[in-house]
Formats: sequence, structure tokens, C-alpha cells
Amino acid sequence: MKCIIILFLTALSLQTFAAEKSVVIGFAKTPLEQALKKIEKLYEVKFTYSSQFIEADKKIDLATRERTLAEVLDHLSAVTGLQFMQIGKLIGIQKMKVQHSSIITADPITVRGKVLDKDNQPMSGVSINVKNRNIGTTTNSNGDFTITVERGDQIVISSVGHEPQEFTITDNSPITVTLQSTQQTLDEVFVTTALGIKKERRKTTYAMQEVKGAAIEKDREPNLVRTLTGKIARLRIQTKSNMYENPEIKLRGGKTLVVIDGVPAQTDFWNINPDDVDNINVLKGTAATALYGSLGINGAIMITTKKGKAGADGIEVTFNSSNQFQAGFLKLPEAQTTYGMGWNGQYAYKDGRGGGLYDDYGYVYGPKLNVPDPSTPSGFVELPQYNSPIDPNTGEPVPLPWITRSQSNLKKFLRNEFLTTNNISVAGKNERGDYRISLTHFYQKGQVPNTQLNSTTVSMAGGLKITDKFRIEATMSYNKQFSPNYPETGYGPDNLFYNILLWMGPEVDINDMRNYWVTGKENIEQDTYNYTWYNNPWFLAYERLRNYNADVIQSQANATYDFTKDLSVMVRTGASVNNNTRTIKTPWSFINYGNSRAPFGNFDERKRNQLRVVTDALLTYKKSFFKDFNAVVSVGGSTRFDQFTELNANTNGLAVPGVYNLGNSINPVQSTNILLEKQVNSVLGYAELSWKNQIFLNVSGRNDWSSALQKPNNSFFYPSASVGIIASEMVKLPSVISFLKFRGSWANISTDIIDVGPDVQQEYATLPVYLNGTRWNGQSSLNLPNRLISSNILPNKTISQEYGAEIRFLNNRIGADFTYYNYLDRDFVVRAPISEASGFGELILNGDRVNRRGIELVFTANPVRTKDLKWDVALNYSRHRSIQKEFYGGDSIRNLVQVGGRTDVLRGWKWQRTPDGQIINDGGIPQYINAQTMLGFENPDYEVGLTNTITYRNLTFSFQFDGRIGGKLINGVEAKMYEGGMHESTVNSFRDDAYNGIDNFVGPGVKVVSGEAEYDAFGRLVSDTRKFEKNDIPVNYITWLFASYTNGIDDAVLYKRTFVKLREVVLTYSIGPRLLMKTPFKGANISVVGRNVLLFTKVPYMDPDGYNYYSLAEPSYRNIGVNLNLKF
Amino acid sequence: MKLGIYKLFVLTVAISLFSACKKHEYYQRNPNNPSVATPSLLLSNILVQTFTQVYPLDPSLAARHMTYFERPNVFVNYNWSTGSFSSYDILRQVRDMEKNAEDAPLVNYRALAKLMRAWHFIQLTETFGDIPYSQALQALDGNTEPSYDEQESIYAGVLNELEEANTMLDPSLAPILGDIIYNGDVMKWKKMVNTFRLRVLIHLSRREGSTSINVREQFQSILADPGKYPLMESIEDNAQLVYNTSAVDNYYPLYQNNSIPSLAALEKGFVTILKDRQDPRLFEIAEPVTNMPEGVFSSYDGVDAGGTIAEQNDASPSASKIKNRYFDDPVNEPMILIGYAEQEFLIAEAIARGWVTGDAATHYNNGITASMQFYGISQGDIDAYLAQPNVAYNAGNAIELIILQKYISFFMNSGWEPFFEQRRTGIPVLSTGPGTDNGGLVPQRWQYPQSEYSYNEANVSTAVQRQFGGSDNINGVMWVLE
Repeated sequence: MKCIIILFLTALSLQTFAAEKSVVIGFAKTPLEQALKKIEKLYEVKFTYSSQFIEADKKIDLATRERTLAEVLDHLSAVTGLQFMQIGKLIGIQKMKVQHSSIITADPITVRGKVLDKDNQPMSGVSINVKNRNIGTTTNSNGDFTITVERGDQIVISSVGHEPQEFTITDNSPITVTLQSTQQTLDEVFVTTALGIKKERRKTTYAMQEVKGAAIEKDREPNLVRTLTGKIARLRIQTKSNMYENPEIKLRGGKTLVVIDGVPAQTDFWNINPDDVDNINVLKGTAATALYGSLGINGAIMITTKKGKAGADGIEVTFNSSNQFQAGFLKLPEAQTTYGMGWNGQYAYKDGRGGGLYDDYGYVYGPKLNVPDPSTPSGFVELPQYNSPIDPNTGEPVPLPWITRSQSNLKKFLRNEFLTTNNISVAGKNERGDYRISLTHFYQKGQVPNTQLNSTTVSMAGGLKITDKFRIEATMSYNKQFSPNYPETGYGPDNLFYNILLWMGPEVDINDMRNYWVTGKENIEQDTYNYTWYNNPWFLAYERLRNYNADVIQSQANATYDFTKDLSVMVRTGASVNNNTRTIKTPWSFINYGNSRAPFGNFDERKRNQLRVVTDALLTYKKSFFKDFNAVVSVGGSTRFDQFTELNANTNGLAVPGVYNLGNSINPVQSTNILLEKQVNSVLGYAELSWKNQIFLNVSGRNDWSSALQKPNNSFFYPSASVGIIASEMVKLPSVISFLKFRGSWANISTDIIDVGPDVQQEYATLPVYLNGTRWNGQSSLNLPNRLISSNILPNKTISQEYGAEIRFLNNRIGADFTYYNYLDRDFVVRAPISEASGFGELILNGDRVNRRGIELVFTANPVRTKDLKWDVALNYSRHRSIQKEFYGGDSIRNLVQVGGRTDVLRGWKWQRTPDGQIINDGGIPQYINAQTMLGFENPDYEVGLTNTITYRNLTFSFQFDGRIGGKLINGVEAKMYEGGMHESTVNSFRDDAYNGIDNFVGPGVKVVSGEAEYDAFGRLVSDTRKFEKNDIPVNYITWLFASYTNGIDDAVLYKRTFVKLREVVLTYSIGPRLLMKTPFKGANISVVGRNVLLFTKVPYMDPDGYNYYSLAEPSYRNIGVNLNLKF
Repeated sequence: MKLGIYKLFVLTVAISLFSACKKHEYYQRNPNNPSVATPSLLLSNILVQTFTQVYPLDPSLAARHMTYFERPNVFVNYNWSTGSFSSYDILRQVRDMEKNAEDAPLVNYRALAKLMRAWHFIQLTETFGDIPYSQALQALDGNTEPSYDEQESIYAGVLNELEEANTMLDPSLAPILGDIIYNGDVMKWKKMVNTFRLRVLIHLSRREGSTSINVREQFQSILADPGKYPLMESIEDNAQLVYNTSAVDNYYPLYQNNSIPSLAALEKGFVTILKDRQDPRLFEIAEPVTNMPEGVFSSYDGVDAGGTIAEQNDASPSASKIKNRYFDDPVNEPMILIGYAEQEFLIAEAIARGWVTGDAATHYNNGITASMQFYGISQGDIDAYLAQPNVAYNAGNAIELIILQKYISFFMNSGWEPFFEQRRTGIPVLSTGPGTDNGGLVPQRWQYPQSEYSYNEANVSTAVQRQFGGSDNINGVMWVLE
């Protein structure tokens, strides 16, 4: 990496005019050749040129004073039209393409001028500065100014909140300048919409939110999309703390499309490098993406990659380096350290397989630790333990002191996570073409020992103007991901946290277990603390390896030809390829549940290849007509081919331990494969009509023919229409309102993506097939699935409406963008359950209706905006509900979802409770309702994100809070902490008494004194005549704990899922242009970043952001880092 | 030239655009799975599913062969709620096989379809009571809300189907392909059909008088004509699944189970029955208590499943666990669905009840011998066992002896039959106590699945009203037990 940087530094110095030395110099009608000689002498440089290029005797004038070489060459360049290129001490001379028209002398001239605002009112206090010289003035109360400059000087006229303007002074004729407020600029910002069509933001007619590439290149996350968390209203990203785990992404409650450079991509975001992203525009609504057909049913995340652009020199090199270190945890589960392993206060290890006393039991309900016993050598009670030496005479394990050896084995086991990303890019541009080449390496060292992830991306973009009418462009990125090992999150003995946090007693010091093989049985038998249930964590980390290797190519090429000024054609082909291999190496003696236990190890290999090719052609005609009308009409066609193949193979035991090859299988290798293909052909068109830049009307239509459905239902049409009205330009509004726009849209999208479960192949969902049954002793078999597929499946349909308003006040310093959307999902293909006695469990047919609706509010403000200090605030708020409108067959309740009620019902087991919410006990034991019951709703009530950016001169400080408020979560980790005996609140005198057989714990709640209750099949109370009194029946504490927490009664560990995170803090110092003058850099900034800095939540033991139920993920943690960004 | 490039580009794109297109019909075939099946491929699957349907630990807990002492367990504490309609899943395959085999040369598959129907409808009705039978499996014909048949008519229908199956099974035809149980031996299937029919008839012992069924006469007619109704002759004829190591799902179901060795023990009542009779099968199915010598009756003990969790836990260190081979040998022993031993006990019971004439003691001894042979116990040990006073056949308490021996022989096989037979006869008495929920009662049935209340509400409610006065509860007594 270092050598590459040096190479670029050298290359760049060629392009840079050294500006260090100032010398007194002047010319008076000196011939050019003589002037060059004088410069050579004074600045110790050498010119090289071909004499035919220069007019050797051209007379040069320059007032005598102290000047740098650059200033002199600038002047020469201006008067001769020559271009100078310095290479070390050598300066080459070339003819410039465009020559200045007249000979200009360096006489001082005085210029008068006037500055007006857009309403032609004079502006006072406007700065007028001369470029590269320390001269300046301001306008008076009439907006007038006077300034004396040299001919050819450039003046800059600027005022806060307005676009600066530049003039080159050639004579002393007065100047009148109209400054446009930056508001105007805001509207002229172009955004990328469907099919990659660039559009002025003010002309858009639907909700969207944009994030600039610069906003995500400093505070890194391993996965690009995680950096968008909280930045876009209604884009929910559930950030996972586990290494290399995909975040869950939902836009308005649906799975959204990702488009890269106009082409619908198949990406999990691991292959996209933030340094290559120019901007991300989230098109939220269906109308915005109707042109993508089926794929656009839930909006789109539009990613535009960086293209070649350049500074004045035609080339720009950027280097960005980001390094982040773990700085503590957001949520680290703490466990008790008072009791050891065993059951009912008893434990004696013999073989970990039941030979001792409760040594196979797996609970941490053993004897109290650190109890003094004067009769033993250690002075503490001593017991045989997993690491006891064996007495050579008796063959029995020798008792060891029963003491706490570790306060937190989890903390001891984990190491500090580390992330580093280094990117270098070169971009260039001239009038014929542009290019950009970028190379990135990402490395993550995981918290879990022996886990890491490497990702290298090379991306290239280039454009070429072949003629004035014909332009071609292409982008391509190649990404390689490689992880030799990454951790598991599911609950079970293959999960590290299961073996450490939940079931390992504090008398075990995890560091004592680092030698994980039984001596003399290396590769054959692990050394662990319980051979019935648990793996040695080190053994898992270093021997059970989950490896992932992916090659991802994302590419597109397009060509545009302008037949006339108004008529053009665009053709584009994009291809994305993702070829990946995952292997799992399972060593001998691996412990797991049932058949996944692998006494003889295993080797699994899965190869997946994914291909998508999309080709579009689009003919566009633009026309202005009558007086105020503009129209753009496009028609085109598109074809998409998707292919997925998978090959799975796994051994059935390893003949030789430690050899991970399919050929080393004990029993026949098991192997399966999948091929999925789909083709969609389309015609599409859209029209944009605008009146006076005030009213915009968009209509679009697309028809798809999909291979995933059967004729004639495989052809379907998607119309959309949307309108935008800029009211602030149509009627006179109070001056406090600077902008007001209304928009509305409607779309009707169908989709062939029939998602009725992971076991149904979407591509062939309408085709009934037999599945493979169990292969018994080599005899194959077939199984008829329990779903009955309708022979007339229609595509799913979503009818969407969206209404919005955007308003800005006080010269755009305060703004609000409000959107309401309402989708009706109808004809959705569903699994409609039927009586199993009918022979099938479910019908697959077009059925239910669901209404999705919500609001999104984006609020922006600039409370402070002075020359030095700027403060920007942006607040996102959103709320989403999904309501069941109808079930197929007219059912009123299905899976506890009621017609008219929310669909995100959280199901589970619930306590019987009194009307005022107290738990009902029987015999001192809490009673549950013997049916799956509604516990609440999973999704949050609302979601918020708040970003603040404060800029003071060269310092920028920004921070972001975001959170999800409301919703319910089942905290399986806590339930398991109770079950294992590791929960801190199980340390109390009741536990000791329970060990001694004393039943003295009285649980909270009431007992029934008379009457009875009846619950229906859905757990709803039908009748209740019970009378209650406070529960006063003492029971064994551990019996009560087990009844409360280990029975899977979700109500016992039900929490509000609310959380708020201080997601990011970035402090950036940009080195000013003055300091940079002395360096080879054109721009440089350094930032200190903090990621996931604070977490506020009442949920214990887990981070509610990404997890629920029994996922045993890595503890979520905080990162701090440094980012260095240099431009040459 | 410039226009030439443009033309070339458009041409290239056009070619790639069209060459990528395959005909729509190409995609109307799922390349991953077949859309047609043969009866033999369906049969293999039906047999695997039928023979592996019951996880053997569940009935062994409910029937008090074993107990699970780690935590509350519905089969130990008798507080289960709903049962499963999963038999209908298998019946769907059966119906499809029958349809695929409608041509005459495949009559044996059609006969096996009848046997499988009979088998699963009996499982269902013994679990719940009334169930959909005559209107079941009609989703393809548009009936997704089948009505429930009364138990008596289900029994009558099943017995008819078994009669038909016996008539249809034709040993002169080619061996049945896909038969993973008897390797295509039609005669063995015929024997199983008739043995199973005896079981169904014995289940009706409290309903001897049913005029629609004529229990006695049917039993008599089967025993009277061995040529027409062949029966099993030895354990070689057992309908059983032999496990193997060719794939993980071909292993014995308890293989590598972590809980069985550490959290489950033999039940005290069962161990006592075996110890009282000096039963050598105890050494084949149980490990001695930790650190005690093997093969000595005093080394074995059990945990009382009626105790509280705490009591059971306390007792567990001095109790026998199940023999290690059940969880560390992937092949272990075959899973008997119905076998020769049971058949002999069924005949013995019929004789004892006076339904048929014959030598009950011989059939009784055959049953015990067959069960012991299954475990490889020597003839000498068997003879010694048969001679014991509390084992030897005694007409005075014949039913008790027969049922108790059948109960022992059902250890870890024959699905829910040990529980169903205890329920019918009350033998042996199952332990209940402070750990037992359900008001201290042993449940008599299962509640209908929650899904029936969602998708077939009217029919299930009618059935519940008809049988149990509107209360779908686990203590309701079904027709066959009244």
C-alpha cells in the first residue's frame, strides 16, 4: 500500500506548480523569449518547448513587485494563451486550446459595480474579493462597490446564503450582479430517479431522501447499508452486532430494490465500498419506482457510484483511510459469580458424562462458591472438578478448591474488535472523456478470537464522448470477500456465547481451557467441562471453522446517441455476478443437539452462483410547446434474466480427523443442488409534462411478461401517475414562507415475486411438484407437499397512494417535508391454511388484503448561519402500520391476526392474569394460558433519527441519535440466564434455602380462592368467576424459577423494544487552503469518529436494535476511530 | 465511421437482448423436482413416515416406562393439551399412491393404501375420538371443511378396509417395489393386515355388543381360516423398521440425544414390575445406578414420575438410565410397529375373554418368548422366567397377566399402544402424585388441534358437542372406552 501512495505522490508533484518562492520581478514590453530566460534565472527553473508553439518576440508587460512563480506563469498564460506544466525544475510549454482574445496589459483599473438580489433589491454588505490577492471590499447600503484591480484579475462576489459569482475583469465597464440565494441552488440539485434518469429535485413528484457519499465515508460500518441507519425516514435497518451478519432492511414495511447506476442489482451491500459511492437516493414510494415493474413494488435504494471528475489540473487523487477500534460494550451481559455448576447445591465431577454427581446435568445450580472449610489444604470447600488431576492410586479426580475463578469469562474470552479501510482513487476528466479507478481494502478483526473478514474492491468507471452526439459509459467493480471464520448466532452448542455466558460456571476460568485437546488425543477429542452438552469455547473458535469466500462483480455499460437536440436513445446492459462458497469444518468430538452432534466431525461445502443480466433501451424526446409547456416522452424495452445455482455437499463423518475433504467421508457423501431461472421481458414508457416550472405531471406505464407465472396471467401492466405543484411560485405567500410544494402520486404495481415461504421456489411457485422424501438405506422416495396450488395464480398487486408537502420558511432556514402513504396489497398470493383433515394443510392462491400506511416527516433547520459558524439539524420521524383488511375465505382471525387489526402480532405463551394484571398462581406456581396467545405487536410505534452538524471555520462536529420507540420483544437470553442459574438476581437467600429443602419463596401475584375460568382456543378469556387473594403459598425457590422462566413462557421475559442510540459522532478538521498551499494536497481533513457510542434501553442482556428471541449474538460494542482523507 | 460504431453497438445490444430470451415454455418446468411420481417412490416415503411417526420417548413417558425429571414435561405431568393431525399428512401420500396405482397390475399398492388408511385413521380416532373419515382427504374435490364421523362408524369402516386389503393382496404378483419393511414380500404384508385387524378388534373389547361391527364374529372368522387370513408366525414377521447409517435421518431416533442420558430415567413402577419378576429384559434396556454392578437386580432402580420435579431430581442420582445403546448406537434395535409378540397377546386375550377357543397359555408364552427373543435372551433364561409364579399363565387373572406382559414388551416400540392399552384395561396402574397436573388424573385423550377451530370450526364443534357435551378436554371419555 505504501509504495502505491509514494508512486502517486510522485506523479502528482509533476502536476503541481511549486509556489514556495517569491521573487521581485517585472517586465516592460519584454519579448517573450527574453522574459522566459529571466524567469529561468530568477526562479531556478528550465523551460522546454518547441519554438513553433510560441511567438518568441511577443511583448510582455508586468508591473514589478514580489511574485511567486505561479503568479508569473498565470499572468504569462493569460496574455499568451500558453499552458505551463512543471516537472520538478522543468517546465513544459504547450499551446492552450482557447486563446484569450486580446492582449491585456497589467494596468490597474478601477471597476464600479452594483449587487442586487433576485427581486432586484440592492444588497449591502456583500464581499468583493480579488482571487489570489489580498484585496477586497464590501457593498454599501445601495449595493454599490468600487474596486481597483489589474486587468485579467478575477473577482469573487459573495454573500452568506447566496451563490458566489466570479468575473474576470477585462475593462472598466460597470458591473451589475444579481446574486441568487442558495435556495435556488437547492432546487437545481439533480437527483437520480428510476432507470437512472437525472431530474431536478424540485421537479420530483414523490417522496425521496438522499444521503451524500461524503456523509458515509468517515464513520465506517463493515456493511454499507448500516451507515444509513436512522438517516432515512421509514427505512428500517436492524443493525446486527454479530460479525458478517446481514442487517434486516425494510422500506415502508417491504423488502426493497437496490439499484446501482440505474441497473437493478442483487446485492447484500457487503460488496459496495462507501468510498465509491457518490450518493444514495432512497425512492420510497411505489410510483417513484413503477418503471422497474415488479421489482419496484417497495421503492428503491438508488446508489450512484462516483465517476471521473477533476480539479483544474484534469486529475484528482484521493486517499481515504479509516481505522476504528473497539472502545467498550453497549450491552455486555453480566452473570452471577456466587454459585458453581451442578444441581440443587450438589456437584462432583467424574467424567462429564453422568459418572459423577450432576456432572452431565449442564446447570449452574451447584454448591455455593468460596465457602471456607478449615479441614482442607486450601481452606475452602473442595470438590472434584473438570480440571482435577487424576489420583494415580484411585483413578479418581482429586478435589480442588470450590472458588470463583472468573468474574466474567465472556469478557476474558473476547478481544477488541478492529476495523481498517484504506482507499485510493484516481479520477480524471477532459473534454472527451472521464475515468475513475479506485482500490479499497477492508479488514475486520472480530471480537471473537480467530474471526476476521477481508474485502477488497477494485472499481472502474469511464465515459467517452465519441462524437458530440454519441457518448458511452461503463462502470465495473470487482469485490472479493474472504472470511476464514465468522461466528454463529443461533441458540445451541455451536454458539460460543451459549457455551460461555449461559452454562459455564464461574468456578471455571476460561483461560485454563486454552489447550482444548485432550493430551495425546489431538484432533480426536476435545477437552471440555461437560461432555454431554457443551463445547470448549476455544475449541469452537479454533477448530469449528465457518469459512466464506465470495467474488462479486457489478457492472454496467451504456450508450447514448442524440439524433437531434430533442431526440435521443439510450441503451444499457448491466450484469451482476455473485459466486460464493461457504464451508463448515466440524472437528471430531463436536458436541451438539441430537443428530447435529458430530462425534466423527463433518465437512460441509455450499457453492452458490448468482447471475443477473438486465438490458434496457430507451428513446427520449423532449419538446417545449405553446408558451409555457415542456414535455419529455420516453419509450423503451427491457429484459431481465436471473439465474441461481447452488451445490451443497456434506460428509457423514470424517474417516481421518482433521482432513476436511468430501473424499474423507465415512459414509456416502450427501449432496443436493438447485437451479433457478427466470426471464422477464418488458416494454415501458413515461411522459413528463410541466407548466411554467410550476406544475409537473408524470405518467408511466410498463408491461412485463414473466416466466414465473403461467399464461395468460404472466403478462401484467403497471400504470403510475404523479403530480407536483410548487404553490409558492403560483400564488403570493407571506414572505416568511420561501417554498411550498404539494405532491401526490398513484401507482398500481403487480409482482410475480410470490413469496410464500422459504421452501417454495419463487421462480416455479405455480408449478406443483413432488419433493424428495427421506432416502431410506439408499432407497429414494417422493413426498407430495401439503400445499394445494391454485391453477390460476395471478400476480400480487399493490395499489399505492402517496401525498406529500414540502414547506420551507425564513429563507429556507427551516424546512419540513411531510408524506402520507397508503398501500393496498391485494390479490397477494398467500398460504391459506385449511383443515388438515382435507388432505392438504394450505391452499396457495390469491387471497388476503393488507393495508400498509404511514407517515414520514423530515424536518430540517439551520438555527445558526454566520460566516464562521453553521449549525444544521435534521430530524426524521416515521410511523408505519400494517392492517389486515381481509382473509381469504372470510375468516375473522388467522394466526391470531384479526381482520381490522395489525399484522405484526407477537405470539407466545402468556400468564393467566387478573383484570388488573396480576399473575394468577396455583399452589404458589404461576399459571399460564394453555394456548398460543397474542402478546403484543412486534413493530415499533414510531421511529426517529436526529442529526446535528455544527461547523465552525475548519471544524465540523456532527452527531446522530436514532431509535425505535415501542414494540415488544421476547428476551430469550434472559430466560436462559435464569434457566442456567447464571442470572444475577438468582443470588439470594431463597436459593440457599431451596438447596436445603426449605420451601419459603412466595411468588408475586394472587391465588384463586373460588370460581373458575375458561379460555378459548386462542387463549381469550370466555368466562371467569374466579375470586382472588394475594398469593401466600411458599414454594421451593428453584421450582418457582423453573416454572417461571424455563418453561418457555414468553410473558416472563417480555419487554418493550424501545431503544435510542447515539449512533455516530464525527469531529472533522479540514486543513485550510493556506496551509495546503505548502503541501502537495488540494484538500485534507482528519476526523475522529465514534460509532454506536451510547445505547439507551430498558432491555437487559441484549441489544434490541438487531435481536429478539433466543439469538445469542456478540455483545454490541462501541467503536472509536480516526479517518484521514487526502486529495491531491 | 462514427455512425458505423453506433450501428454496431446497437446491433450488439440487440443481439444480446434477443439471444438471452428463451421461450416461455422453457421455464414452465421446475428443473429441481419431478412433477410425476410412481407408487413405489410414494410407498417408500409413506412407510418411512409411518414407522418414524411417533418419537418413542413420548409414549414411554406417558405410559410410565420412563420419566423425564429435568423439568416439567406434559407427558410426565399429564397436562398435555392438543394433539396433532399429522397422520393426515401421511394419508395425503396414501391417497396419491392409491390414485397412481389404479391400474389393475398395481393392486398390491392399492391394498397397502387401504392398510395405511386403516392404520392412520385408527391412530387418529384413538387420539381424539370422532374425526373426519368419510369426508376426509377431499381438498382436491373442493371439500376443505370435512365433517366428523362417529367413532363407531370409523371402526366399522376401517375393519372393512382391512378385509378388502387382505382380499386384494396377491402374493402371485411381482414383489412390491419400494417396500423398505418386508422387501416386497406380499405374504408378510397380508399377515400384518390381519394382525393389525386383531388389534383393532381387541380395542373394541368394551364394545363387544356393537351390532354394526360384530367384534367376536370378526375375530373368530380370522382365526378360523388361516389360509384366507394368514397371521404372523415368528418375530421374523414383525412389521418393523431397521435403522442404518447411510444417512443421518436413518439413525435410531434417540441416537446422540443429549437429554436421554442425563435427564431421563427409568420409571420406578416399571423397574419394580421387572425386578419383581426377575425379568432379564431389565439388563437389556437399563443401565445400573452409577457405580453399581451390572446384571444384578439390586443395582437397578427408577424415579417415581408422580413426584414433583424437585423430588424426581433428588431421586435421579440413584436411578437407572436407559441403556447406552439407545443413544450411542445409530442402528440400535428395530422399531416395531406391530409384531408377533403383540399378536400372541391379542389372541390370548381373546381366548381369555371367551371370544374364541384355544390355548391361552401357549399364546401368552409365545408372546413373552417373542419379546425376549427380540432382545436376544437365551431360551434357558426365557424358560426360567416363564416358570416364575407371578409370570406363569393363570386363568384366574389372565387379562392382568397378558396386558402386563404386553406392556413390558412395548418398551420403546409400538408407538402409543402401551398407553392406549393401559387406558382400555387400567393395567398397570400409572403413577400419579404431587407432580401430576390435570387434577391428578391420567388424561383419556387429546384436544383437537387449534387449527380445526380456525378452519373447520362448525364441524369440530359439532363433534365436541356430540361426544363431550361441548367441552373439548383431555379427560373426556370416547365411545370406544365407554
